Amino acid sequence: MKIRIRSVLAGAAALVVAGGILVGGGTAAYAAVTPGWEPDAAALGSIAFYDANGNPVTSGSLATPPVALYSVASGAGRTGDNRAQLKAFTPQVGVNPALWSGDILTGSTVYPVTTAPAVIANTTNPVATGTSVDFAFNDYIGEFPNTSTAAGYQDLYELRLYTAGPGQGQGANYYRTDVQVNTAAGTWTVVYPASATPTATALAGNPPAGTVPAGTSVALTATVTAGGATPIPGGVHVLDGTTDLGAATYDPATGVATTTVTVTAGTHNYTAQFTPTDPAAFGPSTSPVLAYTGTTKTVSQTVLAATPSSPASLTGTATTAPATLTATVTPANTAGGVEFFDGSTSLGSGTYNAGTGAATLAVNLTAGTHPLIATFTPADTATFAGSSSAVQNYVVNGTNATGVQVQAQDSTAPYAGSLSFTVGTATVSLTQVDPNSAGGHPADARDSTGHRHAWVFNGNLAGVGVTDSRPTQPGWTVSGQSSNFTVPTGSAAVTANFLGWTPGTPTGDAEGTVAAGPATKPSLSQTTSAGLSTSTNLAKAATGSGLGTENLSASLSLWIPDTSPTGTYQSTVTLTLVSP
Amino acid sequence: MKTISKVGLGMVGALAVILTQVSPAHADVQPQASDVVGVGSDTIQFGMDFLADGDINGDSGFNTTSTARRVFSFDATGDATGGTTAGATSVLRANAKPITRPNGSGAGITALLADTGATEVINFVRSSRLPSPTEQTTATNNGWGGLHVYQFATDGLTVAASLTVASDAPAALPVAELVNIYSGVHTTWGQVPGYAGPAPTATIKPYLPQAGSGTRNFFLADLQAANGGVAITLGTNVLAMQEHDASLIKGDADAIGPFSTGRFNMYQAGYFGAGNQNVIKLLAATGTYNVTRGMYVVVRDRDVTNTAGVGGIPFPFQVGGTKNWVQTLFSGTTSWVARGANGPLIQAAGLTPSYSDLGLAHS
Repeated sequence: MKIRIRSVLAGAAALVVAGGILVGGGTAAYAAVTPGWEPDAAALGSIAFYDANGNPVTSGSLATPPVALYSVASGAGRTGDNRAQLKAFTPQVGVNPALWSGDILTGSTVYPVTTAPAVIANTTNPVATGTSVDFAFNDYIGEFPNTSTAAGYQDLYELRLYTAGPGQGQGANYYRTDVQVNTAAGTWTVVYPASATPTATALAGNPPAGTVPAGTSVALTATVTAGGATPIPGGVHVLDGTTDLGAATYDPATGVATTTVTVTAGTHNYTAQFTPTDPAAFGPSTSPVLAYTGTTKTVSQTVLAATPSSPASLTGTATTAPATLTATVTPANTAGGVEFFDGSTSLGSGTYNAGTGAATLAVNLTAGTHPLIATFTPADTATFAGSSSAVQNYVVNGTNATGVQVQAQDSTAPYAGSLSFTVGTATVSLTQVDPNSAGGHPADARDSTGHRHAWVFNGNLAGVGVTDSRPTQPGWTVSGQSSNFTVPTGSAAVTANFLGWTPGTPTGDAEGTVAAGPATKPSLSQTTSAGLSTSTNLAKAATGSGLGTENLSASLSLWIPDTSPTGTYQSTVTLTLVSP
Repeated sequence: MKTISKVGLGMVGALAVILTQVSPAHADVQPQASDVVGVGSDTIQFGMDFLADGDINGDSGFNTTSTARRVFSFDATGDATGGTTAGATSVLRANAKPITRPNGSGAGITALLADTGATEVINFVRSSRLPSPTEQTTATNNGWGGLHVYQFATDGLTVAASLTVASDAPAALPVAELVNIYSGVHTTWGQVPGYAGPAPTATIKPYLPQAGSGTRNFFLADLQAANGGVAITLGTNVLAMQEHDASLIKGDADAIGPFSTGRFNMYQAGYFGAGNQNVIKLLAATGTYNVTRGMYVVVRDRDVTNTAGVGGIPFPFQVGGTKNWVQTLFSGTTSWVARGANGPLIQAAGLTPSYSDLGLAHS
């Protein structure tokens, strides 16, 4: 998936010819907007969207139906309601949202939707399900286009989730989420309310994961975190594979959920799944798998001890310290063998006495920390299950050294970083080069006879910034494209290829290489040039580059025929940031 | 998942609060000039009622979302359960005088063809039969380019008999036998070939829907076809009923009549109350007259592409919209009645969603 952040310089090259001097003017509009009607007084909350796998969705295609497969309300439906329906409405400036025109995007869905992925099936909040025969967003736009250019309204639509039930129709209140459409890119994107805080869920068990006797009761503890935010309202379900084992006892204040499962014979892949009460406030999350194997065999247990006890010390000029490792296997009288490991490196098999269950091995260990483990493999694997000891971190200190252990507990989710795009320049003013100078009255390259000439207007696009704090450094590209110019009465068409640019060398502290795009000449300067009529690279950070802040710029140059009448020549340059 | 930080200008919007003045109460609701008005078929009326206003399950109708530009589909009679209300009148559009409700498809088409004023009162007709060639000609002569037909559902038509009291009717009544019964050739059950029921001497009471009913015309056309193409002469034993109204059949062991399977489904589902469940049965044995027929909406053909507001309904139909009222409601696969999302509204009326633009079709 590509992220496209689109920034439109509305009237960025608004050019006014006045005594040969061009003066620009205009305002900038950006993707991040707060809809002018928000907070909507009739809204009960928001809507979260999900795909077929239960993954949250915050953007989608305008052309492909349905607009959203699953639309989930952030709160409960009205008492007695059991149906939900997604609709779209076109905002009108100064008009009560209750009076806006709109249409349905889905049929009525009976909720809860138990056939949906668990994150949706487990909620009792209203859910609307879309199908491929429903409206695509473009179908709706074709019916009720938003033609407003007002700030906080342009390109915006309100999606509403209404509920109803047997004997009672849809009420006046609804859940809603506002989206912005980009018809050029063919996408819609949620703009209100802001994205939910992501959560992470961890799962631990006692006794620990591994092989246990069938019928063992395991106490599971799930811990939900949200970057330090508390409380985290919601619920936690424990699943075995795809089978929902039910809700755990969850405390939103601590994020801790507990439950007990009984491990039957066979393999069990337990996960804990957190579903937020308000999907607009917190995101859902699922823990990594905690795998248990229930066995009907006799389960052995192996306990590892080392003498002398850790930490040991090197003495004199010795480079290793002697230690005796002892593994005790229960039950006693179980035939088999014990192998000792230092991490993944085998230290060898010890002398195993089945009668006592004890195995010993003398080893010499170098200075440092050694994660020691003993593994028992029974001779009769049909009757007995093998086992491994817990890891013993055995420390050998250097000569005359005293060991001080330092440890840290990382409770913070991995930093994901973010990508942002700034266009600080609202206006690009193009100034005419003195028409009496050679540079201000060059030959029009389209005329092979050299008799026709052009007027030249230059200006600088600056203030374009990309800040990338994503540690994965996927790279990014900024490109630009101009619309055709609106021209004064009597003028021939001034198309976007009349405008060219020379990207400046990017400056900033971004890591790696950020390369400026190639110079693109106006078509009156070079007839083969398409100018800025096509998407043209302004700057590019390749994969592995771009972490940091980088400032971009370009010299713009417009050539128009010297027969052009005086007046305003105006176009819109669209800058697009794309990242994998 | 990547996080996007968005930057830009803060936008401020001003929202005016508008108070909607409620109109003075009327005895009955009356459509305004910008509302779409339909009349006609009894068979279809619940399907169109649900499409307009929603069903009892909570599925929403067109008017739920389009509160300013609504659809009014007047039932064939003044009784919301489809019962007969002889002479019932209604005001089809505000500022107009009361008129007798067009009761049935034929009555609806007749009323539409007569609605030639500058501000039209009726915009569409529910019909369980296609317009006749004569009706198409009249529409053309009215300057409308004909009558445009959209099928939005199908329904079954078969034979109903009493269940409240045990029916004397045989398990099967083929169309050929219905020809004999409705033309008065067979007037007692014992005259029906193969009759093995309990009342061979009892007099058959064949019921036929009211004049003006599309179901009546459709049924009689089928009897004519089974009669070698010769229209049957109704026997003096034939009785009149409001189409698909079980009240005259349910308690009479010797009553039969053509009946909508969709309406029967609504009876059985309890829409007309628990007291009307299991009061009639449909003859189900092999060979019984049982056909599937289209459920239609009929409009003036000039309204299909009308973008000038001719006839009184404004263009665009809805504020800020791009479509006229026919395109919004009936024309094309994205119209209200054609959309799969609205299938449950049609099914709630016992009908089967099935959309097709039949153009200037006629029988």
